[in-house]
Amino acid sequence: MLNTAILLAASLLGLASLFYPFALPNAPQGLPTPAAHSADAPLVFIALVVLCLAAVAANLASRQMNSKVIAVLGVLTGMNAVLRAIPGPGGFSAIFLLPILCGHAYGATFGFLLGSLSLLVSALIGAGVGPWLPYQMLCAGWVGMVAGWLPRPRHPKMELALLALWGAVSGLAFGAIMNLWFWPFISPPAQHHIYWEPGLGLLDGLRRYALFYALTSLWWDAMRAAGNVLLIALFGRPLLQALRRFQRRFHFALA
Amino acid sequence: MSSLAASFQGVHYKYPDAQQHSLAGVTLELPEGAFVLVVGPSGSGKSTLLRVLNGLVPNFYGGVFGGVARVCGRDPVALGPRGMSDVVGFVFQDPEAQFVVDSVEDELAFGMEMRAWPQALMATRVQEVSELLGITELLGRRVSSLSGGQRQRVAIAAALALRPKVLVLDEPTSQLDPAAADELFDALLALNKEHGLTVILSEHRLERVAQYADIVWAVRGPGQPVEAGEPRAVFRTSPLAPPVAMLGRALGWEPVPLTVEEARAQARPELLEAKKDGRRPPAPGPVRLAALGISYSYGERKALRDVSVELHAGEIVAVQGHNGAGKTTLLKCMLGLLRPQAGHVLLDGKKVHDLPLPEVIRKVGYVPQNPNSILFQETVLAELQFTRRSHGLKEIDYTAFLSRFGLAGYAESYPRDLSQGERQRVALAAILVAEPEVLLLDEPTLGLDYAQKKELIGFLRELRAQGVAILMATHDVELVASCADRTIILSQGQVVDEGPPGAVMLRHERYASQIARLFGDGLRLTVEDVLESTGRC
Amino acid sequence: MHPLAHCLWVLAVAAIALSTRNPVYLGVVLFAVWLTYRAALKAATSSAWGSIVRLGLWIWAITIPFNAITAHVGRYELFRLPPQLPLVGGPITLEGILFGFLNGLALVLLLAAFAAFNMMVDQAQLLRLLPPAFYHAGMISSIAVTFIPVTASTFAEIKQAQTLRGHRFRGMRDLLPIMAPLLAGALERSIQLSEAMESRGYGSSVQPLSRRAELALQVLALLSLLGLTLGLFLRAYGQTSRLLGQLLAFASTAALLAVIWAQGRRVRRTHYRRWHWTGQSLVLAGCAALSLATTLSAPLWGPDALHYYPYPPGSLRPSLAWPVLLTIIPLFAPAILLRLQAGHDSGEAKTHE
Repeated sequence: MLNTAILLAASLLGLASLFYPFALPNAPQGLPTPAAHSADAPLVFIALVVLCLAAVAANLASRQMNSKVIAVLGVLTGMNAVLRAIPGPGGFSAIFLLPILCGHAYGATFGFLLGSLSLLVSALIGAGVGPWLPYQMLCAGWVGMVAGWLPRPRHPKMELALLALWGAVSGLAFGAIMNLWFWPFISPPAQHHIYWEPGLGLLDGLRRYALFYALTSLWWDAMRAAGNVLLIALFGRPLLQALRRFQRRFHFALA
Repeated sequence: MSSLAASFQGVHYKYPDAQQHSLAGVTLELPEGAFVLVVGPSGSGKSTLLRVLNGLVPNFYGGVFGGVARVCGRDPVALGPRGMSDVVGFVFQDPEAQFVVDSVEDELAFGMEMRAWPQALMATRVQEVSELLGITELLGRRVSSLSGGQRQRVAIAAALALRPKVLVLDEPTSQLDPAAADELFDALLALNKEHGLTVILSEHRLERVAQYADIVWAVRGPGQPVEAGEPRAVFRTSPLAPPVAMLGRALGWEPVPLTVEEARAQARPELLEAKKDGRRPPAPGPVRLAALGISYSYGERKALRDVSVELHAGEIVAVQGHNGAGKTTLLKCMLGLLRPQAGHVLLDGKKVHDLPLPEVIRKVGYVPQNPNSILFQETVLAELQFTRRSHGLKEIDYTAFLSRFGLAGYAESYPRDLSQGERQRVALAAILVAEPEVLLLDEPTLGLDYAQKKELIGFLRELRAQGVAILMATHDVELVASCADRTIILSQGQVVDEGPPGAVMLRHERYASQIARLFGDGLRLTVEDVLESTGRC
Repeated sequence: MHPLAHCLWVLAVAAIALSTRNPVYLGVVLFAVWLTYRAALKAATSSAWGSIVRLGLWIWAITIPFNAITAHVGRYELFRLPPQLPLVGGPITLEGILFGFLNGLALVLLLAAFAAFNMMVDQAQLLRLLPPAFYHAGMISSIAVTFIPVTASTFAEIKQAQTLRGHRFRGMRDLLPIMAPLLAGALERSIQLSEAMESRGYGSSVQPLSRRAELALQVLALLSLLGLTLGLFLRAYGQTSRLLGQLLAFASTAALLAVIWAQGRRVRRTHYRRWHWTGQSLVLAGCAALSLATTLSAPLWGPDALHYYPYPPGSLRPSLAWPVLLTIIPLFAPAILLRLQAGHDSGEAKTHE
């Protein structure tokens, strides 16, 4: 209960720090030059995202993480990192399939950990560590987490449709949110005061961002969304069955 | 050998959701410093018994436990595996599934890190155990770069890092080739004899270890009493025994021999009356699959050099050799997966590489080493249907087909719930359901116990009688002795010997079965052969 | 070299890239990174600088037009887009293009710095540097790294076996006969692995806490997360309570760090692998720390120390402030240290001959 609340609160903070660039136009109001304060803003966002992840990870120490959960998570994380390395059409990779299915079968925390640690591990082995990593970890974590919160309809087709829908939504949202890590570079806060009008900061920011997003990554994200839907439609049922069968057989659960 | 390393008093155990007890009324005593061999068929409760020693049963699995267990004066049931980890070291079957860290050195230190030992002490212990197991040169390597045998040595060293008094090994060699298994046994013997470590080992390859054991625990089946005693006493009655002991029992020798030397001392009259070959030479059918002078290299490394093999309808040919001798490469070339740089492979007179793959595999079935790599459907029946459909074949009467494999009752079972031997049979059935005329098998007896092996042999003979041509890559000399018509020995990519198993076994002691070594006439290779020739069968 | 020293260095470079658009500073730091990359390349095998350059060109292809068509301010107007176009319409200025280029340059610098970092540090080793509070996450990641080669080879094995069984891989739908046994096999392995872990004493390292203490830690973690969020919100949108928001954010961050520290205190384990703080590591770490500290305290050096603003009323000519030398010059440390080391090694090799 409390653990879920912490996961939620950390996600809220993460969301707040991701959308901080849109909030900034208000900040320079009282300052002589806008840049003096906002220059370090990207640093602050990244630090905040890292803090979110740290809060979730440290909280694990106080739950009953038994060796079964650790081993299952470790092995599946390794498998997911391998799946990520297999190139699909249009730069698509199957990295979200397992977090969505496992999150749904084993719970939100499991999904969060599987999603975010897969990104960490595949960055570590593929020399892909960079300032984008915390953002990726957080977003991929959410993909698995939300899958854990989706309702479980009786009818297997309904369940699959729901998961596929989430696969599509998360495929698009992942790209939209991920671009935020370098959005401040493309359109630094220092420039915003040119357009800034009282009360329009957020909206204008969003509008600019929508343009930027449509220009740069919508195509890729659409591919990802379609890929997720396809994977879930094709493999969702048998893989979910395997996951649930395993859970029943070995009585394992992440509280 | 004064105090007790372990004692069980009326131990009962039932897995959660299980119908019957796995252990019932087990009472055992074990002196310190003993070398214990645990024998029993798969699924008999052997692994369960071993897991009581460090508390994995019942702490890890749940279920109902009764009775009293003491190991090194501690109660494993109350302390659990963590509390026992510094007195009981445990090594598992699968060399690929017991490592937590990817570097050998860190793997050895893992248990000590968990117990928060000081760094200086850890460094000393890592050095000590790696010298003990002869793996100092592996310390800087990654686990993924090691062979199976090296992995198991690392696993043993890691288990010994905390200086346990008892080392438990659950079929540690079942995935290893004979050379690696022998090295492992040597290392275990040295630990036992020179360092006084109590070793408890479960094993299928009785012929190699029976002579070294001080005590044998024979597990008959789930819920049945465990018999304990001196090897000679136990092997007098146990359904599982090394081939020479089986022979001795059948011929009424006293005491039951455990080694070829002991048997030779008792068998003089038998040795004299050498009979003519009891085996019928196979009536060779037409050549189905043939490799003609093929060579294959992976970059610089030559895997096959000028290898020729002919496979006739209605015969079983074995390919033997060390790991890395080229067995797998040969199979892949024969299947058309790899294209040899020189020579070619003919399937019914046509070049395999000119044929499309679907056409090749319609005729040639391939059973992989690990049945788990093909089993994925919800039911056994679905596995068979999947193969038929992949080949574009019509449905058949699956029930009748399954009963030929002793799987009649399993049509609706989830394949991965079955035992290793059953999975092997399902995999075999899933390949044979496409009715291949040529069958290629890669290590078909890996992980099978004695009874399962016997079933497999019977089955292969039946297929041979139906005219199927069978080629199998194997390390298992007993398998070759009991059913191969010809065997080919590969070494460094070259054929070094070829001929009927009896003749080859005469020339290569390494590849000879226990009985073949005993008689040395190249005619009698298995207990069956001997009994047949003496007319006692 | 201690990996933490390298971490500190890459952090210092990232801090500059994230804080300034001054072309002189960015250019010089990029030069330092390039030197470091070249020096590190000697030790490692493959080169990826070409891919960084390619990626850089892509980045500029996005940042320059985007900035030019959205920022219509500047003294030097090049041409005009029809003003009817929403957002995009208006004058295209030299300043807009220049700033777009600098945005891209900062991004390229970041990428290059991490590429150099990746060359110098074995990243799997970084897992061993995780603070004790992240014990479980570190363990999961370590297992994953260990299982990747196994999974990859199993994948190939399954694919081959299914092909030989008659299955044909024509499209994504045909992947199920690989995915399903791969997953089932992974789950089966994980049970064996957890048995092996328990048998070797896994789990004895985290000290149990009383129910009450555990609850207190969790409640504190929850409250500080909420407090931090609220603080950020007030800081951004509050009219009068901005200072309050700032204070709340700082206090909550401190509380959160305290919780993480307390959770870490429960973990009793030691580390077999130790990196020693050699003289060179200390020099590198010191340089990086100096640079980082100067960057973070830039507002103290005057409002324009790191600032560059080409649009009016600012000027195209970048201003230079001498304290900034303290942030830039130390960043050359790894390049120099690696050269020294290479020179030392080759000297040794010569004496051996």
